[in-house]
Amino acid sequence: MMERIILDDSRFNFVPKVKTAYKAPPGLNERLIEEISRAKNEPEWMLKHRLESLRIFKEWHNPRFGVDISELDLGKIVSYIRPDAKKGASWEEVPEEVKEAFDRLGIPEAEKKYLAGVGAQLDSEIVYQNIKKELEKLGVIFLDMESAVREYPDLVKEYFMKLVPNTDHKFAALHGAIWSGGTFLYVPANVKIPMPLQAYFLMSNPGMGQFEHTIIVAEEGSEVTFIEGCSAPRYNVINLHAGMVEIYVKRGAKVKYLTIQNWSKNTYNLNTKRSIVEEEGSMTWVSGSLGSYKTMLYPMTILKGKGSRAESMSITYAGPGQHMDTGSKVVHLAPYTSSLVSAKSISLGGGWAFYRGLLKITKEAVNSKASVECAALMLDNKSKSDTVPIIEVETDKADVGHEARIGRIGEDQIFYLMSRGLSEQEAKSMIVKGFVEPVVKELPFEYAVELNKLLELEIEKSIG
Amino acid sequence: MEKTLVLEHDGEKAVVWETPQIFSENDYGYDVLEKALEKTEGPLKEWRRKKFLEYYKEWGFPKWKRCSLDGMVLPELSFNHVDLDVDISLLEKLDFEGSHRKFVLLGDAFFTDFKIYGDGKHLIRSEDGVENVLVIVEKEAEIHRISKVRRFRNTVMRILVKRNATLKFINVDLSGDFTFDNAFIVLEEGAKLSMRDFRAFGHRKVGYVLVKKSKLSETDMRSYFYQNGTGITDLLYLMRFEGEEAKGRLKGNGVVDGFGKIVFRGILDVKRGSKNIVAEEAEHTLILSPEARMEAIPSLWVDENEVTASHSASSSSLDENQLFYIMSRGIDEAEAKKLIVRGIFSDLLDELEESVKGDVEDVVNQIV
Repeated sequence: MMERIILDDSRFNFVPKVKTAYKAPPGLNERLIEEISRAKNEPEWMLKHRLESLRIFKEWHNPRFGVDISELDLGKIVSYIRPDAKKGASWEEVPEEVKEAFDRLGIPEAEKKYLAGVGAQLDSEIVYQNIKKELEKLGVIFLDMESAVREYPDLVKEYFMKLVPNTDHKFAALHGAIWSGGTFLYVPANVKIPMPLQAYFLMSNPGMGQFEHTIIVAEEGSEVTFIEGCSAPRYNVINLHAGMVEIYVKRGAKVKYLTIQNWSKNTYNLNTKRSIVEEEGSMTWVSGSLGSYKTMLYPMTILKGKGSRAESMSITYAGPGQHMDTGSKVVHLAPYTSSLVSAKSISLGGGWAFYRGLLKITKEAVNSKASVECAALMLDNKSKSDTVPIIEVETDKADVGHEARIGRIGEDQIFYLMSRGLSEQEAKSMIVKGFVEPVVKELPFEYAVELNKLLELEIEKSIG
Repeated sequence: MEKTLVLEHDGEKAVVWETPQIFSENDYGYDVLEKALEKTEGPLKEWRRKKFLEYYKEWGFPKWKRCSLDGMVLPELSFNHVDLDVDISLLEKLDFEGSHRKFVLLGDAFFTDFKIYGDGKHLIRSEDGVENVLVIVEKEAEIHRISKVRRFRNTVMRILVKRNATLKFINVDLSGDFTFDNAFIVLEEGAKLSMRDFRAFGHRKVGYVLVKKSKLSETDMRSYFYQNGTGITDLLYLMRFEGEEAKGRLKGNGVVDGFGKIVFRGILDVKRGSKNIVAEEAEHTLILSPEARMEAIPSLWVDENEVTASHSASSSSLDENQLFYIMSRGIDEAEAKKLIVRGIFSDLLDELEESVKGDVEDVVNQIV
């Protein structure tokens, strides 16, 4: 008989009892932005950028595809909440109630065991940041974004919103105006970080928006793995997450970016992630999207240098009431580039999983190879699963392939497992785990266990 | 009205891209409508008028991103006399959006000729102008259509294949500055459709085929295409499953050369309750020149889990290994390329009758 994992739902759905030092009024205006910028002690160029972004935001239309965001009233979103806690460089310095929140998520434990560094963000600010001393000695910069803006203004200015300009779309402009928190990670040339670094984002207040900005710069020949975790307790009002990730992979560098997103089911997750890869560099996205009410997220890789590579592996779960519009974008701009996209989705209980992808091979990308594979598992006939990949090829010297299939768990598979003594529930759970295994095996062990637990929890809630 | 893109689920709607429109001063107006009405008698007269109002007041021409219509000029029309006893309620039942609502309404308000076909074998020759076709298949029909256009043609085709009836439809669409095909095919329970669609050349060639499938219906649809020069071919094939145990297969195969562009959209839309259906799509484009482009958007929209649904799309250049193998058998390079290209269209050529086969063969022989 298979041993059952005891699941503790409360771990992912608790309300941290953290006092706030400052809470901006709902809505968005120039005065508020100036206030946020002043409170963060930012240089003039950043304030200018924020105000310019606000102007663009006001002019931009809503996205003309994807999820319906008519319920999202940006006038009611609280864009900035500073928790009543100074950023701690050691765990002891972090206030008790904040510690409790991250303790429950297992962050300090993870740091002790297998992380090279960790940043923990509560609402709009990083409250804890730590990096192993030996990495600091090698010149690795791992800071919250505000400190990076103050301490390395020229370096940050070189990269900040250069990959995703504030003119990119409405929520990029919004982000440019009111971003707060996030991580700046700089890995010098030829430094290979042996263990992953992590940032964990927690939204604790109802009706808030979280707009963290993450920049990763991997210099020539360097290697780094970065893990992003997201969660929030559920409230009856809408929360918004509109973060941004920009990754610069220099010549021969390797970056792996892992995400496990478990936002509460009242959150609009409208995130933007983009990377640019130079010659012989390699970018890997691995993501597990389980939470949120509605998501629009399409991590993009621009293969700019000859021989650069991109890989994207994702598992998207759409449960009751969820509409997940996710996918990937890869643009091949140079010869001998290659990309591999593997997107999987599970929908059940009336959830809607929508894969939307773009694969573009430009005229210059001769002798390139690209492959996209989508697989969707529908666990009942109340749910919906769609896949719309866009493929654009502008050269006769490229091999491009796409495949997709949608279906349910085969009766014969369930019957076989039940004949071996498993209950129907256990059989289904095992098949689902097998289905997501290619993504899960890319995660560090503890995270793989976590993702499996989360999936099991969600499936048990829906079909248990 | 049957919309092309329907993306909703349990009351939740996705945001669907709305094509920007251009309201042209050179559009057909009341003066052209008057000329059309003068030549029309029977129930179609009032229908024309009604469709014109929607055409004129509500819709501009689409400003498509993938297939620009820059330079399109509507031709002067010369109307044939039409006096047909058409069941207007059937036309309304078979109303649809097509490539764009404007083009369907153009066909309904300004048709220069209106043709009705039933059971039996029919050869349709299409030329410049605006045509409207209604096909009602009671038992068995075969349609061979060949279209050779110089400047402009817009076609609206409504086809109803009744319960357990069968339709074989061969469509050959060659050349033309601007050609728009809008076809809506409804398959009732147990109906069968076999379609072979061949489109070649043309400056802007647009073909949208929407098949609505009932219980136990079967569809075998194969699309073949060739584009070169600076032309753009924009194709959409949509199978909408609305009943159990239906089967639908779509296969696209073609070649793009010169500065040409192919846009191929294959959509399998499986509505809830369509249990145990089989929906398959595969598309491949052979790109023969460094300047040629291909865009493929294969889509699966599935609301029912008891299905087998899959799609694939791919593109490649001429296979060097294939070429080498053929040349190792003593065939020169040019001839080897011809053989490979001919292989793409060989299934189609085998199926064609003499009435249209010659035209298709001429195209295939020109490719390499």
